[in-house]
Amino acid sequence: MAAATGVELGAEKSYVVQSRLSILARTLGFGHVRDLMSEVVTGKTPGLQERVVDALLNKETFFFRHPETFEALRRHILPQIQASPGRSGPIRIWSAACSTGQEVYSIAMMLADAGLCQRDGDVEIMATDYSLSAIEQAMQGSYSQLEVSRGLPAPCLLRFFRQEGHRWLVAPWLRRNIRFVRSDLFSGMVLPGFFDVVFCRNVAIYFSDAGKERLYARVARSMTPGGYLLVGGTECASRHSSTLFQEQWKNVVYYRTKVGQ
Amino acid sequence: MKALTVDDSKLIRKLVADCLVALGFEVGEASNGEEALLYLLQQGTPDLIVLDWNMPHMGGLEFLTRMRKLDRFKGIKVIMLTARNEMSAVQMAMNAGADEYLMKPFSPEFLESKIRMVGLLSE
Repeated sequence: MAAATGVELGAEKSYVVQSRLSILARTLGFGHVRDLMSEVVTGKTPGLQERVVDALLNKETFFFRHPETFEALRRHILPQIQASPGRSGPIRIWSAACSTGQEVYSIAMMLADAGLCQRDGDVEIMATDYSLSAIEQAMQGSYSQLEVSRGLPAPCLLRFFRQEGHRWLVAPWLRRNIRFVRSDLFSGMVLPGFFDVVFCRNVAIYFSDAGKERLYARVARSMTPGGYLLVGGTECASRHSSTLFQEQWKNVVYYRTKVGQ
Repeated sequence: MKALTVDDSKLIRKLVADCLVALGFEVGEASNGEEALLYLLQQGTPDLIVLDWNMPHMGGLEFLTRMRKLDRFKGIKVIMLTARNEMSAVQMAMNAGADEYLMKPFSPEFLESKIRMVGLLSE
């Protein structure tokens, strides 16, 4: 797990591991978790190790999680980027570890509300996740009633979704500026100096200190000089990076790389 | 702050009331639109109404439409809480003056998030 994704599950997570693997073992027809793991060790079943890792990843997410972060993007960060001297080209945003897509669509909805994301090329958004099942759902932009009930304001539901049977689908026009890529943060691709804003929230909490340093080094490398990094409420990027500096807008803490770095 | 829960199900009223009380609201109850109108006229104006759609005597949409016609009730925040889960129903409720829409089944966490969306709870 750690080798594949950087995510470390300590002994305190043994119940979670057991319960998630039990579900997978049952789904795949194994009598017990140890039978599943024995099969993984033999390496005889293609893709089995990947399914185990996928099952163990925490995919918890919902629309506009910590709404104040999206307010900070809209009211503080975007205006600052747009006012940067000599700036041209699309605003580039990366949703790192996007899980099933609620975060990246929340970003897109917020941008659309700010008058962006309306035509091709005014923004470029990339969303990545290691989990194949999560990134597939994110790409489809298809959500259950329960999922759209979590955090999504009704006006957004009306404006950005359409209903198909029991599923709620993100409008194609909102999706067209988003590129979904299956990639892990630990060893996947890095686009140096590319992104104006990176969302990497509730990811580092699963990493060791060494893993956090490696993660934030890679994230910082992907950011433009003076770029913005948004992390989860309990995460502190500057503690694990010498190139990210803390700033604050209202009660939202975010991190920046040096301007002209 | 004051809130009113309007639902013909006693169980749902209790679930909603428990959630609202935990958030610091003083909560009144009504079991249909007629009772809710009476409540407003007799007990005063709450800050929030959590409103079911399908109820006997007077449903939630009719209540909402009537209430919004009266100037003194225009500022009340209304969250529609209903089993109706079609896009057209969400649109109708918002057009009639609902501030938010939550589909049943729901959890207290979802309701709290909707209350924050209508601006009644600060962080």
